[in-house]
Amino acid sequence: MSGLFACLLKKEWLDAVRDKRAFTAAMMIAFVGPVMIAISIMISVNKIQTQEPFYIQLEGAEQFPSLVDALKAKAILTDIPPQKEADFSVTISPEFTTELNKGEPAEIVIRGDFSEQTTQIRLKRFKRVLTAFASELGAMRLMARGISPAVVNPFKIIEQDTSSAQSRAGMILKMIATFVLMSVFVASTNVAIDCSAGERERNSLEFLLAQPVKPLSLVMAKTLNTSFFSLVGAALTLLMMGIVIAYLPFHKLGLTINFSVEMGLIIWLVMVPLAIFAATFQLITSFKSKTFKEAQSYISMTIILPMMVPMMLTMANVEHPALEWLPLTGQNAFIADMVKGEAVNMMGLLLSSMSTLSLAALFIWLMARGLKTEKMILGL
Amino acid sequence: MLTVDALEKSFGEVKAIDGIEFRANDGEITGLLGPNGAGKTTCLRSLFGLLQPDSGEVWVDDIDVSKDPIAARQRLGIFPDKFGLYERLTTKEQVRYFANIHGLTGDACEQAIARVTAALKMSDIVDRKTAGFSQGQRMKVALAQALVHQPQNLILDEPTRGLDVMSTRLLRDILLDLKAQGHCVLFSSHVMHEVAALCDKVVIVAGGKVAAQGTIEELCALAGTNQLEDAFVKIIGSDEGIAA
Repeated sequence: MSGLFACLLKKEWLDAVRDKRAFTAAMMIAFVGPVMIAISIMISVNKIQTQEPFYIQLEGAEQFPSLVDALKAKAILTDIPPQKEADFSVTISPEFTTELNKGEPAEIVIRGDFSEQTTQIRLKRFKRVLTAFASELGAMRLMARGISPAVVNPFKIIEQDTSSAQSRAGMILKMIATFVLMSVFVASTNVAIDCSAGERERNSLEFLLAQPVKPLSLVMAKTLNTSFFSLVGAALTLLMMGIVIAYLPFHKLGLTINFSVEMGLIIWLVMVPLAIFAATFQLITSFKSKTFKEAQSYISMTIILPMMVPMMLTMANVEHPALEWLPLTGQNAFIADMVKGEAVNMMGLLLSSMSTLSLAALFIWLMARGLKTEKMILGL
Repeated sequence: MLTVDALEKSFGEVKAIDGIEFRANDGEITGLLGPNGAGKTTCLRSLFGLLQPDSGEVWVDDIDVSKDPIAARQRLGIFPDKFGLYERLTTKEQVRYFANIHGLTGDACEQAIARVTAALKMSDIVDRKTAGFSQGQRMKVALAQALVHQPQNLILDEPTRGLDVMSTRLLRDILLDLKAQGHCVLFSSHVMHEVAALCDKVVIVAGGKVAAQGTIEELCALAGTNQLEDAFVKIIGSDEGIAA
């Protein structure tokens, strides 16, 4: 590294790192992802652990007393205290006992507003109790008639969930991938805008470009400094993820998450080309904008990319070989495969790193060329 | 020495410079005088190599700016129209940054900073971050970064704007010193008495053209007046843009 380049880089670094509030704010992204993962895990653990009791309005219970006890055993209560409301009402018809004794279908009416998801889940819980009753009763009736209950069950359905604990944990790990990708972009946004559109707005860019220094060297120094901030953001995010994962009760969900130090390091290294890409992309966007504000609004729009692209691909279930080697999607696929414990596509990684770096190089060249024109120097 | 030869430059429909020609010699202070929007800043930006002229040539000493802007800029000290300081850097860090860019390193660099600090009487602000500096202090930093590498040619774009008497006098002394040492000083202004007090030669620019050039006496004689201000008004044909 030549002395001139070192001096350019040092100034960019000092200028950025002394902007303490912006620096701190940028690094906050490292905490957002892990905290969100922690909260979602805690909520699902709670949901699984406790079967929340709920109330139903049961009419005609005297005709079917054993039902009340069976429901109580599953935390479905029929004595509604004054401050509580029933989720739905169940009416056992007055002819229930008669019909039951005659061997005819006995009527039970369930009434309620089932548009809400929680009510639907509760309805299912209630029906499960009824079904258990019905099949037991049915079996007894068959046996009383000398028929094996197996006759009415021509199939024996056995569900075997082949998703390993690892691949189910993959959903959570996919979130990790998204947050790491995001951190690469968000952590350097302010630095990128500040040293480009910001420099121009503060009237120091024109003077700097009137010095005996090649625009290419300046752009390289700014790129290197900006991507450094991206990588610090990514490292912090990975570190926080590691801590959160180590302390979260994943075993209660039956999940095992393997997130080792080596894995974190590899992901961080995979982020290096992406950080350079993010830096150049944000720099060129803000150099092309007329003001700091304009740059900010453009970039905040583009920051949605690292979140939306992987999410949309998952939702739309798009599979295309190009996604393995394009910037962003390539790295995303690599991290997702790796954290899920699946085989990683080394060729894809290599190609995506190369395509990412080529785009970054193109942006650098465009900026270096642009900074020789009055349009970009003066923000016309 | 700075040479501007048949310079033309348009921004879209607007012709900012329409054939400006002048020369600023070593050991002289040359004033570029003109109303607002006359093309002074555009002309100076061409000298920095920041604007590509549509036609004509711009030379710094014997270097064609459009052919080798980097070499040309090495021989320039620039005090720009709008100077933004790096508010998160100290004065010394900022001056050192530009000294480094001009190839000064190590002891030579520190000595150059010490020299310019003493010349501009700014030892009280040298270790302070530049945020919140007064206009006079900002001028000193801007001048320090323009002079730290002891350029042969100094170009100043409206340097006295917003300065108090003390800062203006300091600036004037510095410029006269540089002239005495054989440097070439070119400065743009629309403040008559500033130009009258300092300049050996005045180039009057109006509407992107050179309206007249010469010593103050020559200009007054040309217009048949006693005062530069009257001569200026007569030469450009209006009293537009004259600072009070």
